[in-house]
Amino acid sequence: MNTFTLIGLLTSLLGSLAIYLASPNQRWLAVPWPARAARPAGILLLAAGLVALLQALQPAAGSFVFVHWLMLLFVLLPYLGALLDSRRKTRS
Amino acid sequence: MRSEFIRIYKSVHTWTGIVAGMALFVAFYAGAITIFKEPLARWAAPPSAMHGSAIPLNEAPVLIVRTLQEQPAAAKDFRLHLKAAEHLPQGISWQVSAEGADDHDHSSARHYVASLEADGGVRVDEAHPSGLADFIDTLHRVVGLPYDTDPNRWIMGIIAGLYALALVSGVIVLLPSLVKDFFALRVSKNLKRMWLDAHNVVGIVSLPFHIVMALTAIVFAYHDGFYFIQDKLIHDGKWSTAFQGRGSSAAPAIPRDPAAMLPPADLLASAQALSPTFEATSLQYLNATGPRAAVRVWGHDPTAHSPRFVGGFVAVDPYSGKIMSADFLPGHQNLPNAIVGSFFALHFGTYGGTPVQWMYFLLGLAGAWLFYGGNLLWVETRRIKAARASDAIGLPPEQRRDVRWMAAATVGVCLGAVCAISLTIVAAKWLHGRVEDLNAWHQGIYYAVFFAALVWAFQRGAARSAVHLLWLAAAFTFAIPATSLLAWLLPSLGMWTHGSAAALGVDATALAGGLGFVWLALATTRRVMHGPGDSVWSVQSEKS
Repeated sequence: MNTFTLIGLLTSLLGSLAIYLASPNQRWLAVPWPARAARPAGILLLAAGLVALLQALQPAAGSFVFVHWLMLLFVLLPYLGALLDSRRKTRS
Repeated sequence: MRSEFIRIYKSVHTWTGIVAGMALFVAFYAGAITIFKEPLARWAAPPSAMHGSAIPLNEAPVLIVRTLQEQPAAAKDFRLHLKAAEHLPQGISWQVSAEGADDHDHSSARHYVASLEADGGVRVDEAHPSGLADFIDTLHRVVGLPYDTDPNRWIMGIIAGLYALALVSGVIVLLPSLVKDFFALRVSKNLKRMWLDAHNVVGIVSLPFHIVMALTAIVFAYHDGFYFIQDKLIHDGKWSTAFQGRGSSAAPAIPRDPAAMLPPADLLASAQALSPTFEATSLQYLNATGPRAAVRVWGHDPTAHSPRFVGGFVAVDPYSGKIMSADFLPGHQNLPNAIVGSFFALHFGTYGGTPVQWMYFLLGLAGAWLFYGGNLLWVETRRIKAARASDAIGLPPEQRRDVRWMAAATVGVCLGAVCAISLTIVAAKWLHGRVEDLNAWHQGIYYAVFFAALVWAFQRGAARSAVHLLWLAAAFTFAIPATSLLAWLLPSLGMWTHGSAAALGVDATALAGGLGFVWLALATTRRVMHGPGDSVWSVQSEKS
């Protein structure tokens, strides 16, 4: 895998995580991250991720990768959150 | 928005989803596997002297000339593969389609491979490639029907239309609570809430993916009709004849001499000069001895999107080396072609390489879950609850017949398709060389398992059959890597295990899939045995 593609995917992963954890509906943590700091940081990380992807790929292909990666992450993160939450509830 | 409008859209969403959901489950599950069509074809390809290695480029001109001398009919359309893979022929290959076969249906085509012998002569063999990956692709293309024909594609188009309608109406229903409930997946005793959240998270977040899939599927279903209307309205009915005229009317009586064609290395150099990042995979010769001979240099550009599932191509004149068309060359299309090509690429996931293939695989499985979960939600919404919790333990209320039937149909169709696909994959190795027409067996096994699962689901009820079929899905899916392991340990069985990362990747993915089905089977068993009795998902309900 191209280095810029890898950086782009990892940076977008961190950005998505920051945005998800700042949501009041997140289920990973007992308390959500402060939205005022986490959301802009997440958006910046996503922007950086897109820029990195566009270094490796042409604009259309880079944008398609970015959007599909985000869709996958934003589907997986709530499901993982629900799984963690239900495990915590089972233990307690 | 007025609540009566929301109610109407909710009704539209419910019924379009119910009508199309199960067919879409099969299309998405088979589609997720089809993303890895090439690795699956490699996994299923038996070891063969005719396959698995590419001939040196400098031997190709002699092979082409001598083959066309012996088999002039092959000149119409043959391929030279440049990469080595278990399922790709060594030398040149061509197909002869059955009389009257649909353009998209290759199941009845005969395959031939020509290779050079040690004495310089040409050897032509009929090959019998595994049709497994193509069959699963067909299930994907025509929502579980056996053949990719016009009528089946029209049925698929109707399903895709309902799918589009379900997407639009679903978004409208969700608009009032979209922001508040974004990312919400609440696991609680309120099961209806949980299934609704689980459905909405996938539906809303991956909406762009689903819109593209729905719209492109409608275009794929009716593209012949679109072309016909376009021809009548824009081209005055002369479009198709213009194409026919190019190849036939000016055809000289004497075919051109294929020895005068430029060697493949020169054709590749022409393509490379046009696009240095283009990675060629095969050369497709069309009408090689005719007046408008063309070679399509097929391949991928890792930096760009490809307009077709197998990549893109640049068309070169094999006699002069002149570029004939770059309309399908990844990364070098003009704007209109790039826009049209991007829709194909967005459907097929032909950009970004392996990471994007995995994204599409997982989004495809998530899509299958979206339709399965939609049906679960329909069932849960119509559940007749016991008046008190204690009643549910004793004699729970009888659930509505339509709800029991919908639950059974959902389990039978969806898990039946999962079991059937896994077993037909396993059959590729176990039945090779033991039956005459393996591709017919793939179809037979798929539909036998599918319908047996459906009958079982109605006979035993949704709750029990869900557990049985999930265990069966786990067993059949584990059988995929188990077969490869057995083939490696006991070569006398006559099966094979390829060592390529692509083929081993199929085994590893099936192993992970099998573990996933075990997890689902255990969770479903808990629900069925110990969950509230006032539900179709309880054995207590089936006793009543």
